[in-house]
Amino acid sequence: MSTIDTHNAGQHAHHEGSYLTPHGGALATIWNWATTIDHKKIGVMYLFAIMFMFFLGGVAALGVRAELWEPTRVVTQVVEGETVTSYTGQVLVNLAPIVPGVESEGGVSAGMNIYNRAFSLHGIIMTFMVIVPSVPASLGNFFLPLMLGAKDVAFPRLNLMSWYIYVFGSIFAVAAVVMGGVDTGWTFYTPYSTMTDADHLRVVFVILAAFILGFSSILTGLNFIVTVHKLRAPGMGWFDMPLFVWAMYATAIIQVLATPVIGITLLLLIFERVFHVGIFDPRMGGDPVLYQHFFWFYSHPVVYVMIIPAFGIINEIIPVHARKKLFGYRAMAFATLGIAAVSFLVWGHHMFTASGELAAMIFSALTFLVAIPTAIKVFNWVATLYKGSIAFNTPMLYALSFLFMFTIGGLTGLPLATLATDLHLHDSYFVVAHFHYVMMGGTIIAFVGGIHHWWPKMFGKLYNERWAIFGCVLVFIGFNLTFFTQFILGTRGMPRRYASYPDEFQFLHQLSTIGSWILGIGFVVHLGVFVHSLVAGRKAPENPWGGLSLEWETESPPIEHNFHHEPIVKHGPYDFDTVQPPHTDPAEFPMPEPLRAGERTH
Amino acid sequence: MNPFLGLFESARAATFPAQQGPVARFIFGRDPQEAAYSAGVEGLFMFIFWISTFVFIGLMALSFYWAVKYRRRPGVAPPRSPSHNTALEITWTIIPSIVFISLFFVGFRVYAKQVIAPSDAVRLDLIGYRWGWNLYYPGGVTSTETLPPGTISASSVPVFMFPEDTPILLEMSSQDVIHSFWVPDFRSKMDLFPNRSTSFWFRTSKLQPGDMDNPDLGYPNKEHILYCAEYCGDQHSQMLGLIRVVPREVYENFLRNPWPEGISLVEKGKLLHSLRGCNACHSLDGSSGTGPTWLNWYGYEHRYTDGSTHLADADFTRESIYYPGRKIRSGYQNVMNSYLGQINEEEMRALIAFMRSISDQGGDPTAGFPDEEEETGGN
Repeated sequence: MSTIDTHNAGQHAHHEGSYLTPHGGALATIWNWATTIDHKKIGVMYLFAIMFMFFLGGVAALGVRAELWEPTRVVTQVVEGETVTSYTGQVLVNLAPIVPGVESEGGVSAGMNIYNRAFSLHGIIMTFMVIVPSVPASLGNFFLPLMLGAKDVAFPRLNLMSWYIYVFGSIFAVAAVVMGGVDTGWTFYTPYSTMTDADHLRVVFVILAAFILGFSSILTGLNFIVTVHKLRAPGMGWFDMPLFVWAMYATAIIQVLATPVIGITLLLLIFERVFHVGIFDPRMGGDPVLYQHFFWFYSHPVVYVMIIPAFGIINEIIPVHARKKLFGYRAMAFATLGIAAVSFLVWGHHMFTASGELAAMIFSALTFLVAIPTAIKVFNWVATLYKGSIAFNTPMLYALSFLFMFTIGGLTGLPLATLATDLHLHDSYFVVAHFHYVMMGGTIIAFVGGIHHWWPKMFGKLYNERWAIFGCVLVFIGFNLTFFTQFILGTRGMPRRYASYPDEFQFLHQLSTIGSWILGIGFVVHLGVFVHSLVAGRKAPENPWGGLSLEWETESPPIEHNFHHEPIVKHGPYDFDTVQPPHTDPAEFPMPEPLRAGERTH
Repeated sequence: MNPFLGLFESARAATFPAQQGPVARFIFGRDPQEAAYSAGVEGLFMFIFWISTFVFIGLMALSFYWAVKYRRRPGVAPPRSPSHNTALEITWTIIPSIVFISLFFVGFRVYAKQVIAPSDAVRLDLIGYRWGWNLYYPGGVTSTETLPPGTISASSVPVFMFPEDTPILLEMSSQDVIHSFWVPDFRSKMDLFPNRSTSFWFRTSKLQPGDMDNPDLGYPNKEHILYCAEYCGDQHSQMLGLIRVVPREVYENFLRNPWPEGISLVEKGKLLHSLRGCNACHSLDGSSGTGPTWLNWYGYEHRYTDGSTHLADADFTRESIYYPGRKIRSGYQNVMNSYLGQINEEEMRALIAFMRSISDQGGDPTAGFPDEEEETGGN
């Protein structure tokens, strides 16, 4: 029943340290990490870089929510001879010194200027620097080779290069922020993005940053595709792969195919801004809708780059913590590939209010196609819970939170795919709430769940379960309070990207802002749990949850070359009904009665 | 001719029942305007909402029930259970597919009503710019009323009158970047582009004696807030408008005499300052915005980016409004659009009179235009 080929263990066993073992002094260790080609170290470096960017983007989000506490912060018009007080700059006071012209302009532009830059900063960081790379670059890098039973990814040096490209691109973006930030929104819609801040290079810098980050994405994707094709352990067929690997594979295909399109588009945008070549700006003979087509031709598939890895994580968490064979493995694998394929055909649904009626009709119909495989996935997850043995620990609670929030996110996509209702809801808070339920309630929640699930494996330390559950509950409450209110704001008529709003929306905005504080505290609790675990956590066993995929075979943390011997796969990743998980005590993880002759489970 | 127009026309005939339950009122707030399609949009949304609620509660109840029922008990093995069931999996693929396909068709039918205007609709032109709206009525008449700052927005908001019980078709375009015309009460929106025309239609409701959104007016009226829904820069959130549906005779009277009776040239200029969007960039209190303030502008000499200085007199004012790119004030960028052809002679005089009235070098604004008249003789 063991996965590892042990009959010649004696001949090949050699003692090797954990990948975390320091090499010499502090400087030598830093040099070792900076030049490492070990996928695990690169994954960990990505993880910390992404967490740092998540913190930056989160601070911007809290600032945005704080500004919206009051309906009208910025009033400088003369009312009957006296100037109404302005609260400008109070909330984001630390941003004020770096936003050019705030001091000199004062008044009407200043507060909105800060607000517009803060929401753009939030969107750009969270999209390009957090959600797109989040799961593949960190957990994917760490666990894809482990789950395949490989020693590393196919191109380890390319992998290190992609990390440096990510850092280089992020530095460009942060430089633009230090120079004063941009107010284009993360979508860089033309002609606004070619006109704003015309005397500055900030916008060019941010666009360049997104362009550079794209290469990091492409290289990681390429690496994963080749790794999955070539480095599967002996005995592992395509349908013996864990679904997390399937998810990484589907994601990688989208990354490699779609990212070049945004690269070219962003270059054209820079050409237009810097050299005044008319492509998108009508004053120079261009067409702004062309930009939207180019942009969404990448950015819609990329929505699935963001969410498919989350599906992969949930596919691991639910079976392991429910001790239950995943329901409908093949349907899951095909649904993942199906979503990836259809994702290229639906970009036009971002332009129902901009394009012709016929195009809108076709894209609406195609959009509903994506909903079908997504629905199948949700049904499969729920069915997996049936007759399981469900542990209420942090990863499982996050997986259940994911089910709750992702289902809301998916269902609220229906009125947005439906033509008539989208015309009302487009560019309103309903859309904001919808994509936060998918991107944050889906991807980030699954990501945090995945970090907890694999934390003992990555760092060899257990975390404090009680405090982590407390953090999870805070995040769940905070998230829903922040974003559920925004659905109602949207249907009632609150447009997105507004620094001020009529008084009638204030109550719901304040609820949302309070929610953002709870959400923030929840993440701080998690940060504390992680730091505590690294400093004082108990040593983790090899297989704390009783998982069956290959990463649980090796030590916690894994040794430098992952496995002492090349594993040979003899069972599927979810065969909890027939296989005793490695390194587990049968008393703690008992097996069901063996099948009687002729009996079938399905 | 669009070959698919017939398809749209046939779809338009269908209606979707409007729902007016308390849940719908909680979700949408105000009642939908009778725009011939608004109630249909709301009804369709509620239809999707109830399906979604049913599915969501079902899935969550099942998950919660199973998660608790099959919670882990130390030392107890999970029972055997299937991990695959072809019939079940085919069922839960086909049923959602049918629901989604039906949603598409129903959505398309209501959409057809939203995008095809009746042929007898009154056509008006709407131009969006950073940061305001200009609505052109027949005969070149434009709005002459604003809500004062602080009513629904920090800036003043233009009021656009429409006759009751009339289909209106707006032909829209933008002067600069992309904007989007959204009146939540109409439950629909459409983008405005700088390089093409788009259109938006709605039917104003038939006023009842009790419709008194603004009780000060003395006649029945309904008011709807207009938002710009496509991000367009600094004051995107101040780009509002107020749509006021009024009795037909009030509307016709407005078309004949757009300006309030007995309004002075200076007052008219002050109104134009906010109606034409000058207020977005030019303050009246001395603070510097995207453009220079109008306070103490007239009658003073200012320095320009080409190094020259110029006296701000009536002719220079006229040139700056019609050809804003010719002389650019030091410390500012040229972002202003030309108002040539959009501001007529009477309005120009009103603007100049207003500028003079808020400058201590403006002289007596009611005393005519001596400097301008001299120049006119020379032309």
